[in-house]
Formats: sequence, structure tokens, C-alpha cells
Amino acid sequence: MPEKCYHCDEVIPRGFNAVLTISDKQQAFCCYGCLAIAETIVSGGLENFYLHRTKASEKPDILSQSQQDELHLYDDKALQEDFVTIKEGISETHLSIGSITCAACIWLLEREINKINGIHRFTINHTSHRAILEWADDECLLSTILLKIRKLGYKARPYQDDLAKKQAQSEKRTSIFRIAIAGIATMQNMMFSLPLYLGTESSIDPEFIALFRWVSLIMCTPVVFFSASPFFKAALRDIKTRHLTMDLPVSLAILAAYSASAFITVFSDNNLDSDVYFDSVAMFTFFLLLGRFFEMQTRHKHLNSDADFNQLLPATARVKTSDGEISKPAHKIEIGDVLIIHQGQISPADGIVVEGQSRFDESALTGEFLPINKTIGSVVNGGTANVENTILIETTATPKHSRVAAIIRMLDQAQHEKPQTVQLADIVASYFVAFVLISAAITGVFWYFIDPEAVFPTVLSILVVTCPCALSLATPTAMTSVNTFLRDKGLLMAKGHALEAMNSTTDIIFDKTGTLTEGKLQLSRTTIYNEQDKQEAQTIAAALESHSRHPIARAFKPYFIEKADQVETTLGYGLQGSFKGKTYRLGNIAFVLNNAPPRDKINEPLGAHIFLSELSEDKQYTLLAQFELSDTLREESLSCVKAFQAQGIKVHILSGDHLNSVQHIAHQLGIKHIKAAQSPEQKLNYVRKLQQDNKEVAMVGDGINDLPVLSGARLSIAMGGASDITKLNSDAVLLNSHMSVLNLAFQSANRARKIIKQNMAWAIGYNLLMLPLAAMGLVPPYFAALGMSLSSLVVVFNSLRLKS
Amino acid sequence: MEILFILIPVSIAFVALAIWVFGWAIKNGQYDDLEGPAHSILFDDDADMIPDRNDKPKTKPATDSTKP
Repeated sequence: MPEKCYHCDEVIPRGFNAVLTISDKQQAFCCYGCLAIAETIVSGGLENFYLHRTKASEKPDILSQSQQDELHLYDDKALQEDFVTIKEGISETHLSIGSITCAACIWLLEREINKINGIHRFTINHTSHRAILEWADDECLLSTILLKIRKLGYKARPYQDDLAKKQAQSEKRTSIFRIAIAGIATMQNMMFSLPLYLGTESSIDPEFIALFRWVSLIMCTPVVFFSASPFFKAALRDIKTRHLTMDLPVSLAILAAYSASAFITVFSDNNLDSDVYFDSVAMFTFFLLLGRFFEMQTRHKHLNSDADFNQLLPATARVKTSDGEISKPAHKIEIGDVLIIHQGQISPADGIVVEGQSRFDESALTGEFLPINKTIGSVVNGGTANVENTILIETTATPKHSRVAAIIRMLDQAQHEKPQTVQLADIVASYFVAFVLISAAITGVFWYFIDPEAVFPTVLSILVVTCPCALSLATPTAMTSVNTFLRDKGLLMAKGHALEAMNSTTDIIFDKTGTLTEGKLQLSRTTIYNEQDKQEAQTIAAALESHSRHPIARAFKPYFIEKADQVETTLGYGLQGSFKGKTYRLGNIAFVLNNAPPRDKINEPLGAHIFLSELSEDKQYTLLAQFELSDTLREESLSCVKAFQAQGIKVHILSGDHLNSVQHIAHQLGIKHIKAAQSPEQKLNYVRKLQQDNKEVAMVGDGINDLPVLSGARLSIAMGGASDITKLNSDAVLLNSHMSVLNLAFQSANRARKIIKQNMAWAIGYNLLMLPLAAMGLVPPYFAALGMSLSSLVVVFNSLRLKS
Repeated sequence: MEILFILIPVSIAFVALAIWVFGWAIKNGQYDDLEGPAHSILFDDDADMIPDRNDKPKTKPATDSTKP
């Protein structure tokens, strides 16, 4: 069992040794980033964080100098105008905080940040992970605060409320108010209706009957016209679209009961011959609203968190003008601006290189994980990261019109045309509702001829006794317990139709890089020459690579022991540096042998590979080792693919990567249907074609290049390592990297379907039994209410079985 | 019992007041975070202020200014 990092719970690389004494115990860390965070936490006296937290923290990215510089851009007063308001010398802004895993993170951040001089207020919302920050600008800088947050291992960026977010917030506030009104009115109404239920003609005076009824009417009116209005709106919409849902009978019951009771209150004699139903109306509304609110809360809970990090393009840009460098908010970039992009920065807009030479990591857009060479005249896409040297680009498209933005627009379009999953509950419900309405009408007409007095009570009885509570609970309760179960296993079901979609999936498509594979290079084979020690060769390579930001360098991290000196990079060729007094070269074969022909026999490599050589005293380069690097399969990919195939689901690979590497992976997994070198558009078309053949397609992916195809597929599942915007637009998110959870989810979906069917059978059966009795006028209201609750309870308990 | 004709309207007035206060609290953003307060109560770092079993505080609380 390898040792795990105390901070992020990842495996500590071999040979790496960093320890810190926390609460009198020595704890080990996996990298200097985690160690630095732990040091910050302990020096702040907040080591209790590690006791309070319920989940391991995220592994931090190391903050490069250029990223630090970028944070300083936020101090620019012109830039701050966009997101900071100043009141009486106190600046206020909203921050979006990323990487929060549990409540202890918030506690830690609030403690630490509030210690900084000049902070007036810093509070984080537990649900939305947004913070309100008030500070005195003359005492501390915004960048200092942002830097401190970074040092604790979290990400933070200022954000602006857009209209949609503001609307969502006011919507939430209104629904809380609606529930409050209904709740208070329910309690008050109970108090006034109890004497009416329990009283007899002799024990209660007519004027008190009138008083209690009038007070109940007053209490109930805001419930009907304010609290219950969402039901009426939905019912109206249903009538317009000719699609029956529960909202229609719910609205009818509320309106009918209310208006009849109001009629009795105003016009009838003040005796106990006729009943009023104000208490029922209020309670019914209250419970329905409460149920919907909880459902909405669970749905939003896990989605909000990193939503603001969906900005793929940086918020600021450095622009070169005739007067020197200035910083600009990204949305003010114009075509023709010359942007300076340092190493490690993400290009804010599309452009053409006008000065310098570098390499760009375009994996976010194409899935290709080796950086692409960029020289003067090359096109740089916004959203791609500069890996090597500072370059200048001339903007050809503003961020709004960049390639990334175009992909996102494609996403909207695809989502619009997404095939709908018709939910079982909807179909059943619409028939059931139609049936209830028709029988209520028939009963009404029937009683009209026999006893006009009895029309109203029987019709109301039918509407209440067949109250579709159990039926409407049948699906949501089952879904909620399955979703909770799957979330514990690591799959977040973000959208309601995901479970149903799983049941009918015929084809599942995987992206390659980052989905079936880890998405990062690993040293797959080391070949040694001239009797070099293998371990030593790896140590030397790791020492040299520790100076590089190239993705290949990351593959050598586990072998890192000591840094090399005097490392020089020759762009596009390799590295040279000295380690323990000797000079080495690492790179392609021509570079490491200084263009001399190789004296040793070199094996034909499969993928990416580099060589290591040593400079001997007679100025000759001797080949020491050849390192082959490849993207490794995830541990559970094979069993996952096999399980899907055994289930009869066709498995495809759709990748933006080269055919060779795709074939290599497909061969290992036994997948026959593959498409390589696909653009986002082509991927989407592939899925559309499958759908035209009546296939139900599920797509598993991670990159931005997968975005349109994910939205186009009926069921989309994003990997946990996916970009935030991808996660946000997917139907489900795999939070860990255990592919087997996907199989589990498909099995659970199947079980859930069975439970839902049982629930519906029960609910409908019960209602069909009670309906004739109600129609005959044999069901008193209190019994209808009791039976309805018991029937609902049966459904809830049946659904809870899904949790195990 | 005629007192009810006064008491009930008074109680309605109280309910109206309660609803108004509640509405004000919602508008003020006090219900925006329904989870935080449940957690924050658990995070009091008063460990150094809780005396040991042998009834001798190891470290004196920093804010101990109540003693004469």
C-alpha cells in the first residue's frame, strides 16, 4: 500500500520526501504544492481543517510567475470598474471560488482571508460557492487576496452577475416566500377549522362559524393567488400544448375547493351543513410546493459550484501598444490588437503569430495532447495554452467570435435539437389525468340528475381521493434514491432524463483521450544503450525535464529526485543541462547526437519518444537511453467496455486524435467501430447519422471538442477531469475515474425502471379502487386524506429500496 | 367569548407582521445560503479554550481579559 498525501490523498511518488509536523504527528505530502498549502494552513493555526473536512482536498496546480502576474492585473483600476463597486472607500466585489470540496474548505477560507488587514467582510455561500468580499483598497490589494486564496489551494476569480443568474436568484427567493406564506396560512387555518370540524350545532354559535370561515378565507386567499400560482401557470401551459401533467388536476382541485368554500362562506347560512375546505387547500399547496423546492435544491446543489469557471478564455489580456504594454479586459479586445502571451498563459482570442516562436497546448480544442508548434504566421486559437515562450499575436477575431465561442454556439444549437426522452411517468400521468377528469365530469352530471346538492362534494371527493400524489411521487422518489446512491458511488446525475435514457441506450460512444485513457503521457518503455543503468537514466531525464513545462516533462515527474543545472531549451528539439558534473542532452535523435548518425540499433517506437545522451570529454555524444511515452488506458476501461458489449450495447470510439493511436487503443479494448481525426462538427454528424438509424446514443467525453457531440447525444456523460463547461452541459458527470461506475449506473437505471413501474401500478390500482367509492359518495374527506397519505408512504418506502 | 372578535383580528395583524418580517429577511439575502449555518456551528475553533481533563488549561486563552 503506497503512502497517500495528507493533503490531497493522492499517491506519493517514489523517492519524493516532504513531511510536516501537524498536531504533533508527522505527515507526508505528494508534492511541494500540497506541502506549501499545509504549511500555510498550519502557520495560520487552522490545522483543525484536516479534522473537520469530510473529503480530501484537490491537488493544487503550481502557480507560475506569469499566473501570479495575471492576478496582479486585477489591481488595475480601469479593469476593476467592470466588477467592483466602491461605497464610502470600501470596495465590494463578488468572487467565484473553485475547488471547494466540503464545508471545512469554506471555514478555512473565511478564517484565513478575514485575517488579512483591510478585509471588512468575506463570506462564502455554501451552495453557490460564491463569496462576497469587502475590503479597503488602500490597505490591501485585490491581488493579495486572490493570491492568498490560491496559496490555500483554491481558485478564485471575480465574477459578474448576469441577468440569468439574477433571475434564478430572485426565483429562488420568491419560491421560499411562497412556501412560507402557504406554511403560515396552513397553521392558522388549522386552528380555525378545528372548531368547525369538531363542533356541533349546539356547541358553536352561528356568528363564530361565520367568523372562523371569514378568517380562513382571508388566510387562504394569498395562498391560492400567490403561493399556488406556479401550478396554475403550468396548467395553462399544459392546456396550450395539449399535454396533460399533474398540474392540471392539482390546479382544478385547488381552484374548485377554494371557490366553493368562498361561495359557502359568503352566501350560505352560518350552520355546519356545508363544509369549507380552506385548510385542505393551504396544506395541499404547502406540501406540493415543499416537495418541488427540495427536488429543485438537490438538482442545483452540485451544479452551481464551478459554474463560473466556465469562462474558457481569460478575463484579461496584455496588449502591446505604441506607448508600451497595457492590460485590457478581454471583452474590450479589438481586431488588430497585438496581444502578449507569456508562457503558461491562455490566449484570450484567436490570432496570428507576429513575433516569436512557441508551442501551444490545444488539447482543450482538439484532444491532441502533444503541443503544436507555432511560428510567425501560424494561427493561435483562443482558449489554447502557450507552453513555451512568450509570443505576440495579432487578433483576428474578438473573444466573442473565436473558435471556442463558435463551438459553444454549436452546443446551444445541438441542445436545441436534442432528441427528447419521453418519461414513462409523463405518458402514464397524461392518460391517468384525462381519465380522472372524465370520470369527475361524468359523476358530476350523474349526480346532477339524482341529487343536485351532492354534485359538488362528490366531484371534489373524486379530485381529492385520486389526488395524484402517489402517482406523482412514483418517479421522483425512485429517481432521487437512485441518484443519491449513484452520487455516493461517484456518478452525478445532473439532468432528470439521464436515468430513463440509460435504459434505452443502444450505442455508447467514448472519446479516447482523457476518457478511455488517462489523458496524460506516461513513461511506457525505457530502452538503455551502452550499459547505462536504467534507473539512473530516468533520474537524469527527470532532472532535466524538471525545467520544462512541456507535457512530456510531466511523465518524468514520478522519477524526479534532484534538479539539473544550466538547463537550456532548444525549441522544438530538446533540452541540454548538467547534472552531477556531467552534461546531458534530452530530445530527438538528431539533437541528442548532435546530428551524428546513431551508432546503436534503435527500435522502431510506437508513439512519442525521446532520447538521452551524454557529452563525453572528447566532445562526443553517447546515446544512453530511449524513452517511449504513451497515454495509458484507465484501469477499468477494459472491463467497462466488455460489460457494455455483453449487455448488447454497441461501443464506438470517436476521437480527434490520429488514427494510429486510436487504433492502438481500440485494439486493446476490442472495439471495432472507430473514427479518428474528427473535428467537433464531424463528431456531431456521426452521432446524428446513428440517430437517423433510430439508434439511442450515449456519449462519454471530456474535452471542449466533445461539447457539441455531447449535447447532440441523447445521454451525455462527462468525465470528472473535463472542463467545467463540458460538465455543466452534460446529463451526468463521472466524478471519479472509475469507469465501472458507468456499468453500475446502467444496472441501477434498470432497477429504477422496475421500481417506478411497481409504484405506478400501486398508485393507479389504489386510485381505481377508491374512485368508484368516491363517485358513490361513500368516502368522507378525512378518510380520503388519510388513504392518500398512506398510499404515498407505500410508494416512498418502495423507492427507498433502491438505495441499497 | 365575544373577545374573539378582537383577539382574532389582532392575531391576523401579528401574522401579517411576521410575514412582512420574513419577506424582508428573504429580500435581504438571509435565506440565500440554506446550508452554511448548519455547518458553521461545528467549526468553532475553541479547542485551546477547552480545559484538559486534569482541569488545568494548557495554554491560557488569548482573550482572557475578564479576570480582575
